[in-house]
Amino acid sequence: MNKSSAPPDTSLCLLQARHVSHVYSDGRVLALSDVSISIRRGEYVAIVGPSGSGKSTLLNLLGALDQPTHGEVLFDERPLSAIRDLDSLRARQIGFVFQSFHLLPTLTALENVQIPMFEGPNRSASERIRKAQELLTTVGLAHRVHHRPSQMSVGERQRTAIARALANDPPLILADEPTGNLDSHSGGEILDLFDSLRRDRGVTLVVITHCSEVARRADRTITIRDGRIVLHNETGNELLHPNARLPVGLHST
Amino acid sequence: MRLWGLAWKNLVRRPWRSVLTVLGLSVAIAAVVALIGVSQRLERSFLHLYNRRGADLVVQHAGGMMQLNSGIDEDLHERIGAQPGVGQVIGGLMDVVALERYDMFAVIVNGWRADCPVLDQVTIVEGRRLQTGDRSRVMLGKVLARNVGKHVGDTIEFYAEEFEIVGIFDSFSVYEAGAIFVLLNELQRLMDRPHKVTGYVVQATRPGDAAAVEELRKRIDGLDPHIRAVAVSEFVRNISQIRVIRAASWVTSVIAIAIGIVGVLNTMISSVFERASEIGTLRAIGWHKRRVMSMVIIEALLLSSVAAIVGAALGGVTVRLLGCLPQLAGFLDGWPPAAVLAQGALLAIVVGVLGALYPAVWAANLRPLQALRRH
Repeated sequence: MNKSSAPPDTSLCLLQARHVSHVYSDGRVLALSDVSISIRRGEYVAIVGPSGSGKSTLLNLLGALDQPTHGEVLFDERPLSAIRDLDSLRARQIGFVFQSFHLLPTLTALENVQIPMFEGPNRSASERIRKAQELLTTVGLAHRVHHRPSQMSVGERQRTAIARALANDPPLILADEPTGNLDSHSGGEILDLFDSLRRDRGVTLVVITHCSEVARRADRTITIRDGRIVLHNETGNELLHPNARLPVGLHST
Repeated sequence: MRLWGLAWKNLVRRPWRSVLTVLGLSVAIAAVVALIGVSQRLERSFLHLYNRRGADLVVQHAGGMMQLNSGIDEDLHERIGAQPGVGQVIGGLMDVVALERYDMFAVIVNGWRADCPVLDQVTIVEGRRLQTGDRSRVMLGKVLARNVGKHVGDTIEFYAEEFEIVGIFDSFSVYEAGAIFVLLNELQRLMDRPHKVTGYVVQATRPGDAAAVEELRKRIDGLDPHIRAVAVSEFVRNISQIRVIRAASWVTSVIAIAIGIVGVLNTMISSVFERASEIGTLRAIGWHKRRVMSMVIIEALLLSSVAAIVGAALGGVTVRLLGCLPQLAGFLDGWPPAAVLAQGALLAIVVGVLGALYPAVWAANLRPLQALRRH
């Protein structure tokens, strides 16, 4: 079921990319070409596609980690190019979940989760600790708060990273292959966690994935190939069908 | 968790590197404290000596940079003493000799007239004071006598001559307690400088009256174009040996500081380079540049704070121990002034911040995406 790229009511949009292109600095690699998407508040969007198709580039642009060569990215209807303090935007409005977690190895789970709070709303040290404990409880790690990443399983590390992404209660979570390094059981737990975050906190989720299960749970999948959107799929339902042909770049788990 | 807590954890992840950096910086700061401490102690000891003698002015050969090598006529004693406002005049000849047998290479020898008040102001602890006609006889300061193991009746050799020790004295001044006293005419003979003295110390009748002392200074200055009268504080400040030591101290200190900065720079650069991915993560999740800079600078401040304490203590102990060495016992005593310890500690902090500036700026300017890809 193909859909046009622009949603009808932009007032509900949290995030938009308008005719975005991106050429890497050597000038030879066109990573994205004229991509336009809109992501509504509370929506769960999976971005799929083969390796090198431009998924991560798009996520970096949406997360204000990079700037498009052409076009514009808007957060809450404000162009990112007009926002002077993108660091604060990333700290307070966006939670990042990376494929390889990127936790600080010398810190415990409790301390890792507090890291974004340095740039968040003013909280005392004890409030930061209490908040971090709450978040670790939310992701099922109440018993591991004083463990360092090296003392945790990969699934626990990713859950810690998710708790860290939630530290400043951002409305948007951007996740780059959040289950890429996990076994199917741990991956399933992370997806359950995403579902509950949407349900309980109303966060907007944009997830890059190669995993059909992630895409199946999303409200919408966007398929990218060679830097262009080739398919908008409003629901993941058809992926549920065992004989369904998976969009390019997806594999079943 | 606070920022300094995070900085501390970053330091203890490489404990040996941090310890060695602290050690290197501590040694540099200790060298600074010790050298400046020595020069200041020398200056203070000299000033103390002149102040306790009630001296207001020192008269020397005009333009004499090396005071020991210059000399003025002995007969000026009476002419200076005749000036209105002069309370007392003490003239003396001074030299520095080596007692190589005892590994002592800078022992002060003072030549005084037999009626010089200095000989009465020191405390005789053994034997007697020098008297008119004492030829090839000396008095030893208590510290010197102890260091060379001499008593009254023993002999001591310098200027290639044997001298009989007739008395051992104590003095409030470490210079005098580590010195040799001989009669003026005897030292003039030994130094082949007949009728010459190194200088005069003048006590004014109204020492508290700065204007009167200044008037007196000008009058004495006008007695002879070859002499120059200066206030005691100015004289001490310009003693050529102290000036040389002070200059050498600062030069050595600058080198030590440069080494300290390079040490901190090396440590902090290594630290931020190997943590580039982590710093990129911090930037990606929204840490501002200034917070990343603060973290790196706080790390350096923690290192340099420890180095400040260790270095200042080490420098203080070094000066104290130097004062206990027989070779230096006559020149140094006590701890370095507190201000010198504070300066050394402050210097460590400044060195820490300077050494961390470039790594901090480098870390703050890391582009999150590039840094994350280093993972």
